[in-house]
Amino acid sequence: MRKSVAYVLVGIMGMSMLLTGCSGQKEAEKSVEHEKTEAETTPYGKYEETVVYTVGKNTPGSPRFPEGDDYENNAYTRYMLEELNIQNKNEFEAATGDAYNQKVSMAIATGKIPDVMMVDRTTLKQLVDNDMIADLTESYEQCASDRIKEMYDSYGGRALDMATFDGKLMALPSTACDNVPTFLWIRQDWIDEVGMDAPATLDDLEKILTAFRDKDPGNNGAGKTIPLAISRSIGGSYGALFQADNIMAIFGSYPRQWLKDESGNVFYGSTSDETKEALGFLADWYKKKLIDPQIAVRDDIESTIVNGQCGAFFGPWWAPDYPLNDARKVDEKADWRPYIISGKGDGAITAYTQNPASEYYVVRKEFEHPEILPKIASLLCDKLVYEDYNYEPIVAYNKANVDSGVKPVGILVNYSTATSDMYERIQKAIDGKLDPEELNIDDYSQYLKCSDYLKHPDEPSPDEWSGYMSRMVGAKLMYETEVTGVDPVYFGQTRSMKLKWANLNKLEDEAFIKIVTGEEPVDYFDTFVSTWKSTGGDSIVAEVEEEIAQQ
Amino acid sequence: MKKKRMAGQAGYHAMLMPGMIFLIIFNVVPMFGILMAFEDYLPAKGIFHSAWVGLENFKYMLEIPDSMIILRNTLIIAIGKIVLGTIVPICFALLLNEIRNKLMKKGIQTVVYLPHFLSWAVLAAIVVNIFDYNGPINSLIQSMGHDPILFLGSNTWFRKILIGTDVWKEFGYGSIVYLAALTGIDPGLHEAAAIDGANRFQRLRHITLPGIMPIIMLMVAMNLGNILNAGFDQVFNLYNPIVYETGDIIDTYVYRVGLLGQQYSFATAIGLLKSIVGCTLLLSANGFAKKFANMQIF
Repeated sequence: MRKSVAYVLVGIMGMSMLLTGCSGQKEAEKSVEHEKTEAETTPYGKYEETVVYTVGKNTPGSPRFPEGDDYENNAYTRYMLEELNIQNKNEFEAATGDAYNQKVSMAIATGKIPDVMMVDRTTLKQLVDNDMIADLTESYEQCASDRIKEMYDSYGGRALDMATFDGKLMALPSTACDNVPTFLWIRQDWIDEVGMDAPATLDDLEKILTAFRDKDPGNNGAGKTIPLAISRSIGGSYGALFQADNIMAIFGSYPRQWLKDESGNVFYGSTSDETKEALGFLADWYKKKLIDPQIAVRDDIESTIVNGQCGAFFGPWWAPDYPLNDARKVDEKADWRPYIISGKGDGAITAYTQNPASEYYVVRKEFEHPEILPKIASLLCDKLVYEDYNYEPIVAYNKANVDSGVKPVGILVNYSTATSDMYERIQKAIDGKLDPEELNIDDYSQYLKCSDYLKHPDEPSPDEWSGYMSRMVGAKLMYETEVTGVDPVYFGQTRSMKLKWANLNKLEDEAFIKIVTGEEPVDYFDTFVSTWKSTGGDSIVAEVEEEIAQQ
Repeated sequence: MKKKRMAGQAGYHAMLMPGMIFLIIFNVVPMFGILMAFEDYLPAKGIFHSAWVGLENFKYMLEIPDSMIILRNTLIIAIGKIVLGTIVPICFALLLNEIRNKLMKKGIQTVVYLPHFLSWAVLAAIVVNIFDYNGPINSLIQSMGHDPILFLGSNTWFRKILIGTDVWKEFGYGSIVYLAALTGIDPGLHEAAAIDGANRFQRLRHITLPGIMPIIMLMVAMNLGNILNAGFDQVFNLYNPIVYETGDIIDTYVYRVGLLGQQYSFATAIGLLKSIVGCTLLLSANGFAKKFANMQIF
């Protein structure tokens, strides 16, 4: 049976493609004669009949729904039904990350994709090649609000360029507002317990982690404390949780990024000498048991943080919302604080910047209402935020810390400077320099949490703590830190990557984790680099150079 | 005459139909998918319109070191499972057969069947906990004064754990057929041997084992068909990048590269390699069986 599974999938794929191929043509003919209504040509025009659209939903780590609500029926879906008369039906729901990506891959393989879904850049390319998604150029022109267009334009066109193929806009990207630098989040109460000072350099951090390991400030039992948690991918995911990027950047290593060296040659960050050095450093920490000994098999780092086993991790400014909010609910003494770890201890750091388009939302080709996507983006990222900010159900959601990832379509469009703007506005409102009533919906609910926190800073509720720690402490640290940006030069997918990239990725994942865990010596890195180059890396580097030269 | 025979067998043919239809839909029709291995397959264009690339996917397969690694892993794991998965149930059935207390016999039988009915998604969680740093096995090792071992992240242990846990899961269920065969042995033979002074072990060796030998051969033959199925669901739920070197098998590789990496053509090429190797092994096993044991599987 099992052996036939692969063939069966292949067969189903083939057959369904033949079938959808035929039906697709018919629908295309039908839509030609269709006269467009007002709802179909304006951002906020309401449909006369409810439009039901299917969604591939990537779900957040902990949604925290109020009783009775779910992904198809919550404050956001009701708001959208009320405003635009649209209702989502979820084709599949899966946790953001591998689980969701697997569902998407399966959906594409079987040729049955939902009407609206989120994909990464590689998958977007695949969908375009396969002619499975709708051209959004016209819908964007007509149905995106002026402010949405202004937001995309604040990235100087780079955001939409990433979603444009042959002059056609094939997806709407979420914009990645500044999420770097990430910083060290560490248990301040543990630092106090072992009687040490706040860390500023890697040496300081090593001493603190050693004390965590030896003195067991969390009373977890000998050997059960995880001083520092790191993801088993080690590094290279922009602005994500549990990456070692902060440490690696001190060595000048920017893994998984396409960069240019001083003489202008393109190279892949994972294969640089600096990366070798950084991995060697991490391997030393692993050997000293400062890094989670089970890093290779750890699937759920969050739970070690929530149950008080873990002492430190690297993460972005929003870490207090997730996963630390849950940690506070379990132990309200868990005093997580952010610190900048820099090479010289002066707080000046380097970090690689990111493609302004972080994820892409696409519409299925045959779907009758491709304009639904720009309409949703306008409604959720403009109208709700700037006009309907007093909309009670959603203000209540934000106060109760319901994850904003429960929106049926999680598209996020914002100005390039959104995070620091947010910090500035909330700070002004708290200082009384700005009327809180003028804040937009996200900022207003966070302002309420922060001001509640300040009323009783010694015993805040977990939600008040999260609001204050992320918006006022985390975002402030990010805003004030001096960052030298290293700009990657390429984000796309070259010709050979299609066949060879998955395998090179595997090689990379394997080499990183093996070196860090000491399964292979640091010099194994050289073997990895030469295999990487000979099995396609070299030709891909050449192609990247070629594509950059053409730009 | 002929017509009459057909009429008599119509019922049997009808019973055969569902199986045949199943076989055609799931095993014969998808065969056309093999074409994908020679194409740069795009789902939108379909199997018949994608660009033909000839042997390019196979060339790349030979170029990368992974092909040999996954083939080797698949063979080692599958053979380990077939060998142990045959010996252990036989031994267990023989031992169980010697138990005279009916209640105890049934009790043991039921308990060892249980894991067979659980899926690997569930069992993997149990296995992960048992072999965890703070799990029972490592506690035992630590209490004896040794360092804990990260079993599932160790290339020395990973295959052994795969084979061991698979045998543990299936041996109870696998023994059913042998227990059934044991009841088919004429008790008169045992009585006669006992009168002639044969002890229990001698009776086992000369009566019981030869008695169930045909069934053993049949089961081995049937298992050989699975020789390259090292168990996708088990490996998939237990592995991680560190043990790709010893634990990554053809099926998991095809899944990762083909369905997650969306390289349908390359994955099909690898899958085809699996079929070719499997077919060769099966034919040679049949040849050997015919030559040395004078038994033919098909």
